[in-house]
Amino acid sequence: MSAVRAAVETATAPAAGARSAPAPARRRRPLTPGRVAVGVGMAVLAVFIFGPLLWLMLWAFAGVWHYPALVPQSWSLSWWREIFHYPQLVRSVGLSFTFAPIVTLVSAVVCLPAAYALARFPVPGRRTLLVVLFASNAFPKIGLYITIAGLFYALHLMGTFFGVVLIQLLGTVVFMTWIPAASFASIPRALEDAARDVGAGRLRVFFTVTLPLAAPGIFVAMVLAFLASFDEAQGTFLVGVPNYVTMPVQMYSLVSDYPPQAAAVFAVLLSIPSVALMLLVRKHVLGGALARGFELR
Amino acid sequence: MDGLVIEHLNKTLGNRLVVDDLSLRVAPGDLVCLLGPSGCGKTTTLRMIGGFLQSDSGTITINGVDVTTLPPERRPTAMVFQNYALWPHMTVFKNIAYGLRLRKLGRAVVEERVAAMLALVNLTEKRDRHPAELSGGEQQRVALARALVLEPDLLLLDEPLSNLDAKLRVGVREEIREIQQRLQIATVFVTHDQDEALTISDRIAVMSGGRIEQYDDADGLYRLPQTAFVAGFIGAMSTVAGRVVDAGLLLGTSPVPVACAALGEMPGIERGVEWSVGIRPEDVRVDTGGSPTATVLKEVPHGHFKELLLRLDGDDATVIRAYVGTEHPPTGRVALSLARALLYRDGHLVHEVAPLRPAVTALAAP
Ligand SMILES: Nc1ncnc2c1ncn2[C@@H]1O[C@H](COP(=O)(O)OP(=O)(O)O)[C@@H](O)[C@H]1O
Ligand SMILES: [Mg+2]
Repeated sequence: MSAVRAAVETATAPAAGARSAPAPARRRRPLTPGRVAVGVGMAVLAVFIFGPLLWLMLWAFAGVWHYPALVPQSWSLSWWREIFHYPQLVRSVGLSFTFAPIVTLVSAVVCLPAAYALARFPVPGRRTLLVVLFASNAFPKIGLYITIAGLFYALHLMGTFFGVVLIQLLGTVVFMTWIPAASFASIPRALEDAARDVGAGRLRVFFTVTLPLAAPGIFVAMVLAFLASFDEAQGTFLVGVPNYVTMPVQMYSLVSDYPPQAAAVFAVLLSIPSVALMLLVRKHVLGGALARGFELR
Repeated sequence: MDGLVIEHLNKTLGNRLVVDDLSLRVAPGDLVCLLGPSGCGKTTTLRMIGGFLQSDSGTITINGVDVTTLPPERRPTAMVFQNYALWPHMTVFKNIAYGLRLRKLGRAVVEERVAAMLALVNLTEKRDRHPAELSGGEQQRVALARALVLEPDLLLLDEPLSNLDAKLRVGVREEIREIQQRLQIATVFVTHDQDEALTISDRIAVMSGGRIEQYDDADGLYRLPQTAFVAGFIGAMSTVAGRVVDAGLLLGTSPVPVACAALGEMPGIERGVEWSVGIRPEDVRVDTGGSPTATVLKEVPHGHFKELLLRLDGDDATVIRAYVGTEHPPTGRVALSLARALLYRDGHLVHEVAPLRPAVTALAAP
């Protein structure tokens, strides 16, 4: 997630990069106990983060793997083929890739105007609103979901497509408001004034000046929203089952009902969008034309 | 009337009257500076002219059209913003073409007019650069080109040179003036730099506390500053309390002769009252002969002339400045006389004492 955090920081503080002085060339320094400790710490952290991932990858390509062998006794790609023979699993892949983009778009349409308003106008109680948004995501959501489930029953939203979209939206609102709001706020008003000055109406100014300039922040927010929706299991489980079983929900039953290889393959599949989107963020937000365009004086 | 006419403009911001009953006329083709210290309401006034801020009361008319309530996109004005406000995601070409494209002009026309503007501001080579790749001076010229390409009736500039270094500033202000005169475009130029204002303006509105203190050309402002504020703001001026006596002006305890021999006999000038006397340093004559009335405190070299700081006998609180040549500047005890003096009361100019006929000009107190 550090790539995302870095992306968020660049995206929301466009002018910062241009001003920072180039770092002095790094020189080799002698090994001190402190530096050794940092090195060891980093290694432990790496094992902690990448160990399970590695284990997962091994399982995904394992044929036979019995305890206590350190690596599988035989390798196989068969589970990658096998997994697509379970119609239920195939359907969940399809569902996940349907919900995530829809939820991302709906979230953008709903939250971006709000983010702009929060950034530009003296909305009463804007601090409170932002804090509440933040708090709603800072605590375990299951309590909130249970309450909402009650409401959804009453509104006949349980087990519906729309219900799942709604419950997934909940986890995206925070990114879609906070990050773009910071991006919008960092755009000098004079840039908008200048566009109106030469004849553009408010709406045109928004689409030709404000939106393109806030794009890196919005892009990052959409990536985070996509991933939040893609990975969302609790709420989707509660609202969607049995009609809408997405990949992360399927993971629950995979672990108990299928061989470990199936779960591993599925888990790897589940992380593909994360990796792909992270690479995209790196390419377009951190290094691309957008970042260059932001080098305001 | 043509040009810009502002009448009784008022604006309160955050419980403060920032623009106070301001009226101003800018003739077509004229460059007018709004000059005043920081916080006096210059930007607020300019933003109301541009339509970015709605006035509380008053009217703004441009070439006979009342624009008071029109949004910026419907006013025939174009603004150069203090930090240029170039769109960082567009090239130089796109920045300048943006307004033309909104007007649904053909591609060829847009190309041609942008090219003409780029040539005017000497940036043809930078056409496809982004603003971040330009120097401050170049960005400034792009901002000017972006404003001028729309052929506005009124050009507005908010401290356009404040982000340039001192050397560049002089060159660019001459460039702006030249372009403005070539296009004969009415212009309101906001600045807090009197040099800038004095050198490029047809007329200057000196502002203080949201009001216009004086609206005049550079010459008039310098020669006859109508208020004590303008006197202190434009050029160097020593101010000292004094009375009219037979021999001239009694400053401190010594009579100082002024231009004409018998000031006290001139009609229309009140004796026995205290005036606030404004004296330009170049109007002070310093002699080593005669009976001394002042002491030289300090000598400040300025290259081709020297400035003397003088203390009048009997007035320890005031320092009078005088400009003298660089050869054998007077030192020690000296005698002063004045070629010219301005008499103020209650902050307003009442008399000019000068070697003209008549020697004393009564000026209507406002
Ligand atoms: N939005 C605002 N709210 C409250 N006060 C403001 C606002 N904008 C400007 N002011 C005040 O109005 C005064 C004039 O501002 P401004 O027109 O920017 O001055 P200038 O351009 O001459 O430096 C300043 O004292 C400033 O603090
Ligand atoms: Mg200002």
